[in-house]
Amino acid sequence: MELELTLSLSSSSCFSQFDLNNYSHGNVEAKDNVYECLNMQPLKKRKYCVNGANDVESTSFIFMNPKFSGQETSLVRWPPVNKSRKKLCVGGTKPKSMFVKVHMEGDGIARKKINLNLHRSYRTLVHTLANMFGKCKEDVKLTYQDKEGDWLLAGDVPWGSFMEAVKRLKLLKNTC
Amino acid sequence: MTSSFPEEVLEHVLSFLTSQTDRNAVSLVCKTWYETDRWCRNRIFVGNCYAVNPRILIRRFPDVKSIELKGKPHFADFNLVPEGWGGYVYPWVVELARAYPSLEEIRLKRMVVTDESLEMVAKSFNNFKVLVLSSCEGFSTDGLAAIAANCRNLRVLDLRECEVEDLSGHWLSHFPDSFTSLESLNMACLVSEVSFSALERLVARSPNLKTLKLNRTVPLEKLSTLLKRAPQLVDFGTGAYSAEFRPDVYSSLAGVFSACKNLKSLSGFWDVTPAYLPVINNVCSQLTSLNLSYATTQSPDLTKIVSQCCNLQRLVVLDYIEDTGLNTVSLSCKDLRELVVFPSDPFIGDVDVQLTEHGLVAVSEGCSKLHSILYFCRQMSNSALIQISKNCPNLTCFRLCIIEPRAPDYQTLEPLDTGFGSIVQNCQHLTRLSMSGLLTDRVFEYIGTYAKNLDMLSIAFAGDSDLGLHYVLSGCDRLRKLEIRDCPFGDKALLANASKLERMRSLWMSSCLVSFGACKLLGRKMPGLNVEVIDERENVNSIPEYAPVEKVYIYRTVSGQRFDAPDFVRIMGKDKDAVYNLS
Repeated sequence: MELELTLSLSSSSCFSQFDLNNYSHGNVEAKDNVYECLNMQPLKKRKYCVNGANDVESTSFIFMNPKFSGQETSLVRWPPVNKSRKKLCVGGTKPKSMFVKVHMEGDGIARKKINLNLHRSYRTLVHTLANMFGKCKEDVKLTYQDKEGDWLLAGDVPWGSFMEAVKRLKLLKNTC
Repeated sequence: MTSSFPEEVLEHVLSFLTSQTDRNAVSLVCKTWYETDRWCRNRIFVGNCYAVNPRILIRRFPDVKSIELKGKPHFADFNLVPEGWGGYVYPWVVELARAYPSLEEIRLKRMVVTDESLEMVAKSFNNFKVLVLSSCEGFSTDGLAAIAANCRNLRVLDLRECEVEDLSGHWLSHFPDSFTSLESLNMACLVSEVSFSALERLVARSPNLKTLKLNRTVPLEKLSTLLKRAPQLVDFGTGAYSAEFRPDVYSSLAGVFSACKNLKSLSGFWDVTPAYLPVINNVCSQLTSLNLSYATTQSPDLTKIVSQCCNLQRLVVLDYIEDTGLNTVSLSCKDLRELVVFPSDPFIGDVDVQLTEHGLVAVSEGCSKLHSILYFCRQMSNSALIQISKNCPNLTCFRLCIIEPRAPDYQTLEPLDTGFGSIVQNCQHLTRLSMSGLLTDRVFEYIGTYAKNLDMLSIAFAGDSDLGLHYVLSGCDRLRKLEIRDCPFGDKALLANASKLERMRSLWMSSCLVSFGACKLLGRKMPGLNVEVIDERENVNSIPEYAPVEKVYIYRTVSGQRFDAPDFVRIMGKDKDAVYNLS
C-alpha cells in the first residue's frame, strides 16, 4: 500500500492536501496488520468519539495509538526528573498499584480493572475510564462503592478521601 | 568586494568575536572573511555530533584549541532515548588526536565516553587543560585515573551528573605530587570514597583552586581540614552534610567558612543535619549562587538560610521550601535572576508540601531581575501565569512542570492556554519554554504568533491535532530545538513544514502519531536531514506504513547518515550502503 502524499516545500503551504482519509482505514487487512504490529486486541466495531472529533479521525487515533485503545494510560518516564534526582526520591520511583474493578452500565457482566494510583484527579480518571469503554467523557457519570457498601457519585469529596474510601467503580450512562 | 584591509587586521578584529553565532555569521560575509575565520577560529561548538563529522571539521578549521560536542537529545535525561542509541565520542577523539596535538579543552554533553577515549585524551594532548563531562556515561574511574596521571597541565576536571562505573576512589591518588595547576574539580557524581589524605594534599598544593565540589563520601567533620587549605575557594560543594551535633565541629566549621572571603557559590548538602546549616550564616551575604536541592530538610531551616542571602542571583532548592520560604526569597533576594524548584516526591500523588503557584507568583513580584525559571508544582492557574508574565517581562527561560499530565487551571478547570499565551505575549525575550498542564491547539496558536525569539520548546501531553504542531513550526521563526512527547501530532503538520526542519537543529517526537510512511517520505525527500525512527517494540524494518512510530528524531546534517546506529534505529530513506559525500 503506497501512501499518496505530496511534499510542499514552501513555508506557507496548505496542509489540507494531507487528508487523514488517504490512509485507507476501510481496509480490514491493514487494520489487522496494525493489531499484529502493536500487539493489540481488535476492537469491536462501534462509533468512537474522542473529544468530539469526527469518526474517521478518531477511529485512526484509537487504532493507531495504544494509549487510546482502552489500555491504561501509563505515565512512563514522567515527570521529567533526571536519574540523580530520582535516586533521592523518598517515596520510591514506582507508584504502588491500587487496582479496583470497574463496570460499565449496560455492558453485561464484563468487568475491567484500573490502577487508581496512576491517577491524581477525577478528571483524568473519568477520561481514562471513558476511553476504556469507548465512550465520550461527557456521556458518562462515574460512581463508586465505598467501604460501607454505599454507591456514591464521584467528585464530591476530595481526591484523597475518595482514594481511601473507594472499593469499586461503575460508569453510568449520562442521560441528562 | 575588493578589500584593502590587511588580513592581519581582519584577524585581529575577529579575535574579539567569541560567540559561535557571531563567528558563523562572519564566515558568511564573503570568501575572505570565511577564510580568515577558518584559520583563526580555535574555539569550536558542535551542537549535534551527528550534524557534522570530524573530517569535515578538521578540513575547515586547521587550528583548534577548544571543542564542545553534544550527543544525545535532551529527552535522554529522562530515559526516553534507549541505551545504545549512539553519541560515541571515541571516533572524534581519534581524529582530534591526529589533527590537533595542541588541543587544550574538551567539553562533552550527553555523550558516551569510554575509558579508551579518556586514555587517548590523556596521552595525545601535551597541553591538555580542561575536561568537562556533562551527563556523560560509559567510563569508569580507571579512565579518570588516566587523566589524573598524564595531564600535567590540567586545570579543570568537571564531572556533571555523569554515570560513572565507580570501581574505587583510587583514581584521585594518580595526580602526581608535581601536579599543582588544578583550578576546578567537580567529583560530586562519584560514589566511591577517595583517599582523604590524597585529597587534602591535592588541595594543599593547588594554589589556584577556585572550584571544589566533593562527593557524598567526604564527611562533614573533615570539611574544616579541607577548607583551611583552600580559603581562596569561590565555588564549594560539600559532601554529605550530616553528623551528630558537636559544638567543636560546629565552631571549627563556622570559622573556616568565615575565612573564605571569596566564596560565592555553595552546593552539596546531602542528608543535611539542620543544626549544621547556620555555619554558613557568615558567608550567606557573599553568595550569588546556592544549591540546596539535595538538602532534604523542612521549610523553616531553608528559609532561615535564604533570608540572609541578600546578593543571591541563583537559587536551586526542593519544594520543601514551600510558599512561605519563597515569599521570604521574594523579600530578601532582590538580585535573584534564576529560580529552580525541584520536587521532593515527584512520583507520589498527594504530598504534604505546601508549594503552589503562590510561591512562584511571590518571587516574580519581588524579584524584578528574574529571567530564568524551572518550577515543579502540583497546581497552576491562568491568573497566576498572567501575573507572572506581567511581573517578569524579561523572562528568557520559563519551564513549568505541573506534576499531573493535562492538569487544568485548578480554579476554573479550563485549559492553561491563556496563561501560557500571556507568557509568550508579554515576555518577548523568551528563548526557552517548557509547558505542562491541560493545553489545547490554542496555546500553540499563541506561541506561533508571539514567541518570535523562541529557540527551544518542550511539549508533553498537549494539543488536540496537527494544527498545534503546524502553528509552532510555521510561526516560530527562531525555533531550533523542538521536543515533543505524548501529543496527538501526526504526519500532516510535519510534512507540510518539512523545509523548516532544515532550519532547525533537531526535532524529537515520541508517543505521537507520526506514521512510518511519513518518516520514510521525509527521509527520502530531504537529504539534508537524518530521520531516525527509534522503535524497540517490533522489528523496526517491518512496521507498516500507516502505523505510528514509537519515537522519531529528525536533525539536519551535512554528514549524511551515520553507521553506528543500533538495530532498533532506522535512518529513513537513505540507502544503508551508500556513502554520502557532501563536501
